[in-house]
Amino acid sequence: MINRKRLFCIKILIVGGLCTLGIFGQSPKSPVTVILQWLPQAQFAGFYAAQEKGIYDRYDLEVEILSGGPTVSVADNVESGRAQFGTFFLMNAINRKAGGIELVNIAQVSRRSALALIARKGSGIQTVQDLNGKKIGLWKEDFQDVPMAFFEENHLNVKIIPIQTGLSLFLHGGTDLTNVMWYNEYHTLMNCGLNPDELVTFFMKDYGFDVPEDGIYCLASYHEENPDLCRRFVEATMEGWSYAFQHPDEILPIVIEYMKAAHVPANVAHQRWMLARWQDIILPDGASVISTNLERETYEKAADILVKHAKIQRIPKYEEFYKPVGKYAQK
Amino acid sequence: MLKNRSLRFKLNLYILTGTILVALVIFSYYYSISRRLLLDNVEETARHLTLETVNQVESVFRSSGKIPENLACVIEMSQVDEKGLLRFLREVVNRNDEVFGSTVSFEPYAFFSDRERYGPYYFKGDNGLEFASLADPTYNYFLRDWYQIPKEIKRPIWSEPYFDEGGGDIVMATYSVPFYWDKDGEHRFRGIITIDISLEWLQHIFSQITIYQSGYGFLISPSGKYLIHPQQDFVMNESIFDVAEVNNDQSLREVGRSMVRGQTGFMNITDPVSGRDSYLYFAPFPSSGYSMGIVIPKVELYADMARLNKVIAVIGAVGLLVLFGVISFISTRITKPMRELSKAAEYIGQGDFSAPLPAIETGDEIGHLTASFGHMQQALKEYIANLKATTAAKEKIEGELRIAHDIQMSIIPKTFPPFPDRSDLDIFGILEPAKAVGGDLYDFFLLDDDHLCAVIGDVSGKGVPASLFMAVTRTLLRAKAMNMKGLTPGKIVASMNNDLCTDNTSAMFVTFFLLILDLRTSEIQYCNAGHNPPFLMTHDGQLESIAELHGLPLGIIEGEAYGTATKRLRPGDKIVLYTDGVTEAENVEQQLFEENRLAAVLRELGGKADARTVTLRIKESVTEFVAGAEQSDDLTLLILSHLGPAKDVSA
Repeated sequence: MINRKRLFCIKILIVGGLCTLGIFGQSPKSPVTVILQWLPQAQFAGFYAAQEKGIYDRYDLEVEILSGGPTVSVADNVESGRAQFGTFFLMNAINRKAGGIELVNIAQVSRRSALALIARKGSGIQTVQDLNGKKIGLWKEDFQDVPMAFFEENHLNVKIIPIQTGLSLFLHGGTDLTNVMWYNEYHTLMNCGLNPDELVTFFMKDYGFDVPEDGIYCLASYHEENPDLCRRFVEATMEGWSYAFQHPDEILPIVIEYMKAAHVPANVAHQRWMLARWQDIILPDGASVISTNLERETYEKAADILVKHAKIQRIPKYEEFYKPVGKYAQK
Repeated sequence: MLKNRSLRFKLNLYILTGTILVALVIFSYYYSISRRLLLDNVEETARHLTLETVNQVESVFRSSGKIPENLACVIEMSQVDEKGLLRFLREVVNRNDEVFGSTVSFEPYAFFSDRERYGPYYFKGDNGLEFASLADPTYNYFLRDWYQIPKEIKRPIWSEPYFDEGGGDIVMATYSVPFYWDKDGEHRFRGIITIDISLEWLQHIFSQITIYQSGYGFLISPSGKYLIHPQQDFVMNESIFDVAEVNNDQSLREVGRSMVRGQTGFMNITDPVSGRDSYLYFAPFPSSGYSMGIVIPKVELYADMARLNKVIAVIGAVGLLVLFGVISFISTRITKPMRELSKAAEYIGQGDFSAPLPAIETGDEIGHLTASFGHMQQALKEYIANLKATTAAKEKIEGELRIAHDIQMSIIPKTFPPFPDRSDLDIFGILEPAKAVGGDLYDFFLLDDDHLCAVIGDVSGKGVPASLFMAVTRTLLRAKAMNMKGLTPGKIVASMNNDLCTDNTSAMFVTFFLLILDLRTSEIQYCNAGHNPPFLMTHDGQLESIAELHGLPLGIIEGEAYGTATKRLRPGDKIVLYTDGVTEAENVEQQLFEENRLAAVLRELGGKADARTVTLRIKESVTEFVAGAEQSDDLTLLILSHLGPAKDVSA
């Protein structure tokens, strides 16, 4: 009898628990904000796909996506708590971390460097040594670490022209070379009427500087307090990428919509190119499984470059910098 | 194939084919020439329109460009304080309708020695003329294209078009002019003066470009970006290269490359919006590096021509139909009487000489032909009538001749053996006239029980007169021989001669051989009046010619005396009587049979052959010899053999 009674009590508890879950089944979505390091484009297609195809929703996330841009500091937004998540280039993030912002990498999205220097063939530049004494347009400081390391390693004395954005200065002959992202400005040059055979390209990854770029970061404290939220956000975002690669024709119009909303000149051809290149960057060499793992060697190589060029004094510990999160973090 | 087609078909085929060929050549020439003229014309029109637009736009760009250029001059030439500078700027924006905003931005510490950034900016805002400072470090004007590019390339530049910062849909462009100063003994870059102008007026100018129905103008920036295009989605979003990539149109990309390089050209393109084949004329705006193009759909360009071509095609088709009708009508008119004539000829060919001929009254070839045909028909009719009459007459004569022949043949003995009750006589004879009736004769008859009279003769001439003369001779013979029993053959022949000579106005004569065989003694008495000498075939195969001649043929000289010769036969001896139809039988080589051939045949036969065998063998030899050549003389043979003393069979 006693036993029976106890069993009954347990039953009530279970049923009650289920009822409670049933009544509050719509568990409240976790509101989070992510800030992307640049203006809307297919570079962030995974985020848009996760947002628009209900993937974040499925992960019980209510995500606000903020766009960066030439005048927006992602670091400031993350540090201030305006955004819980932000995307950074790896170098940039290490730099910030060494500078005192307690960022942690929770997903290394990009698997390889897309950065290249490009010159017109007619300028007489053919080899790396030809860069000596040339005017080279580079983006603002955070983007300059890898090229500067490349110049120093090759003992090149070049004149750096800092540029805000775009290719106009290069196209007008204001610089001899300019930096481009393979997924972006390279194609823009094509679609300013320059043919690949009219250009000389120096990919950083081909010169020992394969430092991958985009990763997802948050503050260490945030990660400690919300490990599950971080996991959900990373997994949902990467699922978004997967979806975007499988359904480019569905995602491209969405990207274009984001761009139009931000008053960014948008064209489909360019975004299609960009999305295709991002597939190469996230799934290099035809890989079929997405990985968000940041390898220790990659991290140390990047950090070394920063130390060598006195950008940072000490290398943050790998374990403190990278926090594997979610199912894509496998090695 | 064509050979058997009607004249109408051939005429239509040749004339229509020829006409179509000529028409095609003319049309092709006309088409290519007018197409070229049209193309030259459209290129000219497009060029004018483009250059007009370029001039119009350039004048605005140039005059707008003068504003900051002049200001740069002022700043370079004079010491301007902040107050003066701001007044200048304000006035620039205020006084120039097209100027939306203007700034003078300086290099670090180049205006105020204690201020890194100095960039006053006046612009037409919602509240009229407004002021802003560009010195905000987050804006960092040093890195802006409008500042950086002219600084680096050391010359003024029109920017790529952009949407104004206020977020409106106004497309703007900025003209940036660098200015310099001499500092520390160096000519140094000091800053940039800009004006921002709205490009809406450009849109207005382009919206007025109309050429044909849907030809349009478009404008691209130096990087190929569409600045003005009827397809609004393109504007400020897509570059001509993007569109080329999306449409996978390599030639459009090449067009774009030519345009951004500042070239001028006229070429074929596929319109990226409509996909239609079009012509494009393009030319650059030299001051801004923008390039404009005018697109003309070929369909519209050639629409008038296509319409004209359709009309020509219809006229051509109708013309050909009419021509077809005319040819058919004419050829029918020509060939109808010919067809009728041909039908009439067919009837005539079938024997209907009264078949009516078509009534042709024209004086042309067909008329002549019909008339000639009529004459021929008439002549034929008459000829056939004559022929009928002649044939009837001939048939009548032939009928009579046949009767004469029958009569002639009936008066010579033709039944062998002639005396079935007598075994001592073996007689066989044939007479084959060369014509229906001939002049040869043979005859034999018993004068009495002991005497057989046999004759052979050949009347001069042929045909009915000869046969009549022969009949007369034979009748005379029978009468004389019976009346003059016991007289010698010479007497009988002489008597017959006298009778035949009397009133012989036709001067006909007859060769004649008469023999009388005494059946008791086997002695023959004979008289030869100019006839071929008969052969005597003895029973032992010897052959001799009975060559005596007793006078001229009968009917020549009246009162002529004829002798008689006598010869005794032995049993089985045969007398072979013949006419010159045998010896003068002629083959195709005109060789005669001659006596020697006859003698050879007889020798070959030997003494034992009977009269029938001898006769048929001779005839056979002659037939073989002449081998089908037509003979002019009758062939007559009479073989007669006394087999021995009379034995009365009945006894």
